[in-house]
Amino acid sequence: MSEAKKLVEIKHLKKNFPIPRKITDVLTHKPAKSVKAVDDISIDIYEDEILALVGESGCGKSSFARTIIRLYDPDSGEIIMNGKDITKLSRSELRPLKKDSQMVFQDPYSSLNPRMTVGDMLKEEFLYHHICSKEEVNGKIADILEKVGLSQDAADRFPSEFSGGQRQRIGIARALAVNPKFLVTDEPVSALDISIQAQILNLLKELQKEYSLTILFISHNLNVVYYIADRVAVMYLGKIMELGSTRDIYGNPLHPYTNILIKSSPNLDPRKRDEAPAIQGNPPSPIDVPPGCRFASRCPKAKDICFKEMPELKEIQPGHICACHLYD
Amino acid sequence: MENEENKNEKLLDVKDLSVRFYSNGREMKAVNDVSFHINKGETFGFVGESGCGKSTTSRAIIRLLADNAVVPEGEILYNGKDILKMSQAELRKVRGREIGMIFQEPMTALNPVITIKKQMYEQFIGTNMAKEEKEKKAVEMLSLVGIPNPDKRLNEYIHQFSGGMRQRAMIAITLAANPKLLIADEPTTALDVTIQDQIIKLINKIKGQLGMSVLLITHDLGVVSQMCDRVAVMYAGYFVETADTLTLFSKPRHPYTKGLIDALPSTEKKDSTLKPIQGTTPSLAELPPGCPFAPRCPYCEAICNEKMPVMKEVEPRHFSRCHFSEKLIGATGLISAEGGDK
Repeated sequence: MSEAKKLVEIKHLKKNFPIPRKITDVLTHKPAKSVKAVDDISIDIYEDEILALVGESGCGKSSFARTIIRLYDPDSGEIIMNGKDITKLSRSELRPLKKDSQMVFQDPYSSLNPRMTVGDMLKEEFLYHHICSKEEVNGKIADILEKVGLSQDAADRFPSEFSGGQRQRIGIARALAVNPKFLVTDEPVSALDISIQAQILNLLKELQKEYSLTILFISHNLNVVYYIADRVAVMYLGKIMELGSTRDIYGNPLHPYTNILIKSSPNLDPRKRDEAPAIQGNPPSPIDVPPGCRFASRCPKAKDICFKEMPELKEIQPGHICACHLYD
Repeated sequence: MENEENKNEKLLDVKDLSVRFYSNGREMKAVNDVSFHINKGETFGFVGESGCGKSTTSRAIIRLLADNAVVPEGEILYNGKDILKMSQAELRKVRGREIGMIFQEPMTALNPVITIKKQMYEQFIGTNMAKEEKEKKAVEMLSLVGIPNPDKRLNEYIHQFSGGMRQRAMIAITLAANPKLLIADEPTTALDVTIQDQIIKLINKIKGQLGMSVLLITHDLGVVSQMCDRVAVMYAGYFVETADTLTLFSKPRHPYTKGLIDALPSTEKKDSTLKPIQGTTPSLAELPPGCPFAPRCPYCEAICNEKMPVMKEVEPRHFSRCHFSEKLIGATGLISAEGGDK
């Protein structure tokens, strides 16, 4: 990984969502509250890699993804793409860069325009980003449909005429139409059945190789991540807890939370049944995060210091970083 | 597992059940010729992809089907009595009392404008319980499912609970009626993995404590592995394979089961490429005359497109609906049959 080029460099990225205050709160001078969805995250994403971001719902993984392609505006921090900090760019400056990073969404039912045919949707992409001329557009549409495994007549049909797996293929076609370098996929297979899920995962893997894509793959499913990712980042309440190669994360998880996530995944061997769950309780609310380690309140190995000081991300083994006081 | 002497006593015995839906003049064959039984103290699972008829079958068992559904044939014997022939009054004594049901989404299954306590008390209607007794039982149920401060939480509404706690509350309310059979329809699908783990262990524990039977409906083979004694794999409204969980996962004998196993990403698999099942599920309105899986099946031959195979006992208590199930002898399963440890 050392010689690999960085495609995206993220430095101290923060994104808060303010919570609307009630009039009584304002009158009694209660402080404004906010959800710290992305809390000081620094991470490098390399060219040609599939980096997975895992975590439970509400941990901020989708907010992070949307912030780095500027669907949300970050509060502070830098996002450096091709040597340029894109957080400072205006909307019009951002427009030519938009085609470099594209997104595939979870729900193929709600992320496609129901009133547009697939062909029209793709045509819009090609023409808006000046990928090709009007004369070439039909050929381009045919090419991309073939790439994602759809038949040519798909161009004249509406999203409602397709099954879930086919709709996800349309979503992928739309994202790839503009030849992006960076693809963010937010739970792209969570809504799909097992047999279809495998088709889409294999398609993403193939396309990644063919187009030399860099993919940020967001998922809560550890089995899916194990299959597709080169590196894995584990997120908990707005923070990265651990980051390493897929082999290291699964074979030698350092952070207690990573360990628990892996243990919680139902084992496929019916002879291996535990009576007690891997962890009790729920993640705390992201509104009033306690000082110290985010995970301390649920951590089986928590020490006094864990409740006072937030541990820093440190490289414990080459290429394997972890934020935990156990390794101080 | 403990109640070995109860094991072979059938609590529920379903014979040749079919369900048809009629809409826009079309007939949808949602459930076809399904037979199975659930013993006392046993967890039986239906597994399959969306639209395969697993939820419809479970709803047919307690006659919760929509108005456009018809059950043209079949028997559903609960303790020897046919639920399909019961009067409404008889049915009321069974549904929700003898047979309880929990759903995927507690927010839509429970009433948002009355408290947990009131919904729990509805289970005690007609039981002549004194007020204190009801209160005691309600608190007991909430603490059984692991809700902290049960006496306080009892007076709250469902929206005041977190996702995992909502599922626990729904389980508590359902179990307050002391059901003998719990039907759990995707009980953990909407939950995070750590909470799913908690709910799986909770249902397993309570099942043992109360000596219930469980009918689990899920699409997740991992959940099946952690909960079920026996499993039925469903495809296009048919049972295609039934066996005990270990046998099904280690020695699948139906191409669809094998296909699901090959398509499932897993950290425990040695082989790293996924083999998806090609194509998509057939429409229930236009099922092919032969085997419904034939168009997607790698083992398909001419006979498969013409003749529907029957359920054959390929090994003792292991059934497969395939003309060529013997071709799958020796096929690699999800796990190996020998040795329980990694």
